[in-house]
Amino acid sequence: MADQKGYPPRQVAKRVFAKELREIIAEMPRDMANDKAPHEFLLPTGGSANRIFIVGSLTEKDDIGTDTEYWRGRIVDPTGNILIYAGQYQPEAAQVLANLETPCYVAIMGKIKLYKPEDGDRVISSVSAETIAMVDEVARDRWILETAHLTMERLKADTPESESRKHYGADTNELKIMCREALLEFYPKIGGDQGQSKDQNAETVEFSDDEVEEVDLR
Amino acid sequence: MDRNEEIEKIQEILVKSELDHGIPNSEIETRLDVLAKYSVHGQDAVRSVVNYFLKSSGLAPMKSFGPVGEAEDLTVADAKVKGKWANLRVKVTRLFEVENPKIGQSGIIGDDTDSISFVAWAKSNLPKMEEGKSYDLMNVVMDEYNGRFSAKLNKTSEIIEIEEDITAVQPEVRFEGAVVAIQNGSGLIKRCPICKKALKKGVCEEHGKVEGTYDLRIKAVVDNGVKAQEVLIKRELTESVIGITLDDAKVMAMEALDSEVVSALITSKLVGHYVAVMGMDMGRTILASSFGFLPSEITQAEIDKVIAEVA
Repeated sequence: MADQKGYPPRQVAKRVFAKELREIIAEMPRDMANDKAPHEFLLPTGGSANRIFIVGSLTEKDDIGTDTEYWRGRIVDPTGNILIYAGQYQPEAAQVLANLETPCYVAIMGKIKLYKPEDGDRVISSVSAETIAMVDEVARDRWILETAHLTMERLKADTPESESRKHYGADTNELKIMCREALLEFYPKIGGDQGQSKDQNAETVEFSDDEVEEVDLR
Repeated sequence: MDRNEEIEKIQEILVKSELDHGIPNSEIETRLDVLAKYSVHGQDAVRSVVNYFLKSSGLAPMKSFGPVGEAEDLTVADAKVKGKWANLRVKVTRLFEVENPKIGQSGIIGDDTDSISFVAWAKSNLPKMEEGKSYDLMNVVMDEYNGRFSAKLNKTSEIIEIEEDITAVQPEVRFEGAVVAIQNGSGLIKRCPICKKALKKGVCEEHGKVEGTYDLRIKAVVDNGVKAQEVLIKRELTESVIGITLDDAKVMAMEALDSEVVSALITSKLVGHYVAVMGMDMGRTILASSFGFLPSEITQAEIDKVIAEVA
């Protein structure tokens, strides 16, 4: 990545759970006067993001490239899973991903990408990885807490008139439940019978393996 | 005021101004000649010529032409007024690495009221100050950019070392977040032996192809999801953060025939980890005085706080 000197300031990497990332379907209206502005995607919880930072378990990785290496990985967090990609334009990230052994905890800084398959009206989101690194469990735990906090902050700042509500509907209850689900594994640390709630809600944490997503996003 | 006095006065004012290059006497004389034809002499001629040169360099014209030596004895906090001339009694708490050849020395000075950065221009040829020592800085002018004040030392300024040990407040800032990127120019780098600027592909922007000297540093981006903060970690702290010395890094690079191995090591040790950094806020960058990983145990209070938010 180029070393950016001067303004504007560096873009913040937003914290977004996998479930929310997968629900992204819309881009912010672009300022036509400024075609260098990054693509900002509307987040279901409100606000927008281009660059994101996620931490989770890498459960699969494959080289899906033909001529050159093009790596795809699946990252799982307590809310769901999302696909990440790293190819010739992200050589360091691709090399790190190629050398990782699944499963392991990884941190990814990257950019949101949307893809519309020709044969349908669906929109599929994924992450183009700029940096990938293996991390330990504490980094993953801190990320979950931080992401729950920042996701709730977005929901609080959101208004019924926001662009997000136009695209994702008025009801944000499920997104609040997502944050609660994300923290389920932290409840046993308090002790008592709350620990069982993790099992009772287990089905909500599971993800369906969606083959449609496994498209080549180059 | 005769012609020579006018020229001298004009030069005196221009040297103190924000103009970073000299104006030859001949050019000043040409302007004075034009004014003389219209019977403008003395103080009015001086004002006209000074503002002519300031305006032609895109600088703001001067409003007042007070006598030299109007600087007041001020505390750092009271001196924070743009364009104010001050005598400051301060301690040098930090000296920065100077990458711009126009700058002779720069760093942070402070007293018990506040701390600010200072810049001494190279062309002013002032004596160098030392970190940790206290000085009387006579006749410095205050500058402001983006709400940040700095003291500019010019040819008319004086630096007098003093015995008294001034207590300086430290404007240290703390930032916590995840390391999301290690920027280019991190790891094993080479610096120009003359200006200390980092070389790009073995070439110094000012001095061309030079035999560089090795250094180790980290330029990290620490991001808390709300702000992306650039952090600069100099050699000593870099050595303790990544656990290798500059010599180790040189050996690593030599064995791999590639200095990129060092930045790859830094990336693998830092990226994705949550850290706390403390240091000097230099605007865009924090110059780290300490840098460490957040504890491997998350406290129950931290967990309870977020659980309460989602409830």
